[in-house]
Amino acid sequence: MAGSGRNALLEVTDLVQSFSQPRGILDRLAGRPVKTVHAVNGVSFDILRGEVFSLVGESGCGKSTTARTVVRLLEPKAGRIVFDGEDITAYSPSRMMPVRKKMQMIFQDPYASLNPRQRIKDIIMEPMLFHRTVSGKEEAESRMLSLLDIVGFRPEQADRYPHQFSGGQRQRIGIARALATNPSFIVADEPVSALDVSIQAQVLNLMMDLRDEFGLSYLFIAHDLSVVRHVTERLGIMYLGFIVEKGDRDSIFGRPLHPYTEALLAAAPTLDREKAAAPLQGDVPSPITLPPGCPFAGRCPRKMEVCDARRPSLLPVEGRMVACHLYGEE
Amino acid sequence: MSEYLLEVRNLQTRFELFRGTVKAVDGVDFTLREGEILGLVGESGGGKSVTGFSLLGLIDPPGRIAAGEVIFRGENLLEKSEEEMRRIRGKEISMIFQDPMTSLNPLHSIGRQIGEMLALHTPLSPADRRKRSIELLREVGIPNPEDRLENYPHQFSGGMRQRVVIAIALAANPKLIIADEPTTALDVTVQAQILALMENLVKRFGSALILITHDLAVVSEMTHRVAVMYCGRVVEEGPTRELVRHPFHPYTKGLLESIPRLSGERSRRLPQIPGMVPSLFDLPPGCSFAPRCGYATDLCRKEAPSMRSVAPGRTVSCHNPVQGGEEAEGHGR
Repeated sequence: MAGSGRNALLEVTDLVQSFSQPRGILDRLAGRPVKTVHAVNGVSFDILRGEVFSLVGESGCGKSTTARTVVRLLEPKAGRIVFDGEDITAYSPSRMMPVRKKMQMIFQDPYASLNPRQRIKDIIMEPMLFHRTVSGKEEAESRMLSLLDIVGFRPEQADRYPHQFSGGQRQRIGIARALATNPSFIVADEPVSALDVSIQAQVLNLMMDLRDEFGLSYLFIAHDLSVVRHVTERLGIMYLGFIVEKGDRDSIFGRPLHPYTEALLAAAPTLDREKAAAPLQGDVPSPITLPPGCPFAGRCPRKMEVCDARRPSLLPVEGRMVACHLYGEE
Repeated sequence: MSEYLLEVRNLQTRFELFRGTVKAVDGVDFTLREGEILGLVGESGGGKSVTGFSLLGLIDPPGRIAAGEVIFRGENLLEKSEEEMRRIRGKEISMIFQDPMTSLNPLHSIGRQIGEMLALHTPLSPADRRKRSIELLREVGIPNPEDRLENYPHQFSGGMRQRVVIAIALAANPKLIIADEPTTALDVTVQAQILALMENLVKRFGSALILITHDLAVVSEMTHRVAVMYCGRVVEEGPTRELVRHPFHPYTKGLLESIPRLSGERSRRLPQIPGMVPSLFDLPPGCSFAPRCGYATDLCRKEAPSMRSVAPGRTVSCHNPVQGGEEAEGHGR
């Protein structure tokens, strides 16, 4: 289903990311081996121009690590990242520089992601001046003012500091900063999960308006399925560093096939339902020792014998990709 | 004794700060029957957590409870001494907090922390306390409770830790549990486990529960009745199902509509409540919601509305309630 023929802006193939866990002095004295956290285990997806693609899953599933690796804030351990026709997998920091201005990030915590000692105008002008997307200070000022206007601030608010704004306003400042270098791709890592519901709607609407206006593509990282359903065209569901199901919004929300997707949807609280289904038992297993079979086998209500033995691969089923022994194969 | 387990009347909690007085809770009324689950919902700054703390007398200076009554089993808790309150907290009324990592002591084993609660509030011998602790851990779904007693909080996952906190809250068999955002820090599948567990236990132990949360969806699945708070006041109250289907207050309606849905029609834009929650230092005159309200009239901007009954079991504090309890948009049966 992936393919450059579809004019993908970003193509990620078999991406792997892992971290060595620092050993304490006792571990070292005892000669215990270094533990490796397998955060992302061969993830593939593509994002078309002007499209919103979401990675969904619970904490520790590797969705944020995938996003950070894709924009090369982390070095990939294996796999291939092609952005706008360029293979950036092994780009050096200096070669990444011109690419970076085309890929920007919006972060989860609007209190931690803005420098408290910088004025709003400096926060927004800094990336333009750094990447030299403007000819000078004057052009930067006028662009900053127009960005502030786009995200809904008055010009006189440009001289204020982050603490003078509420959480939702700060998130809009973060969005203006992300737009400063005129990017084509934005990674939004849980951009509304720290916000109150009424403010969440404002920020989501703004992000969607900007997508239409500037033809942006988003990689949207979230755990809230109803938010994802609202914004996304296609999505991948992650569990323990694997994509277990991937496809377009309507097929996945309309009829989830992977038992984990099903459980995730059943567990999400909604206004439209009297009672939730019986909740999934257990916790996510440790990413240090990956199970040899299906990553979800330990909690799966429909587990079979083969699931412990062999890891299912992502195969096309009913118009989407599913990694589950219940479907496909032989 | 009255028919209610808890009656809160005109509760007012204020914080006297350098910049002025914050009326964090400004005349809140609600009631709770035995075994009932009440949701206290609203956005940050609505006063729902301060209301919870006020019930237990856990307000420290510069805050103070300025007026009101909290009648629990026929007695006004606000007239009790600190000594008397200490006997009530944990035994009669217990509280569950959002973050299980900070509400458990990292230096003590969980066996010791449950045992402490039992030693304070029950006449059990040390051996019986151990037995009871094991029972409680089993009750909240912790595998191998005998072995887990010696474990420390960091050896549990977030969901398991919250189960331990619930076990402690239930230890003395309280009549009322106040849970402040008990699942906000947890993943959805774990949240579903904890909510199901709490609902189950409350039913079995016959306790009443006040669930404080920002999440209307959680409230709608879990509670019998809801009180919606905005700027320190309850703006609407009623049976959960009816309130979610037919909100009377424009704020409730706006909140319900701004939540994206998991099924059904998907609109291009989410309906949003314009503006933001006003600063509690600088509340507008009249109704606090008026500046953001599409139904506001001159009266709303001048005079604060008072709580009135609009339908059986339904009260709302609004001059222009949504006509006949309009169906929230995009939200058919």
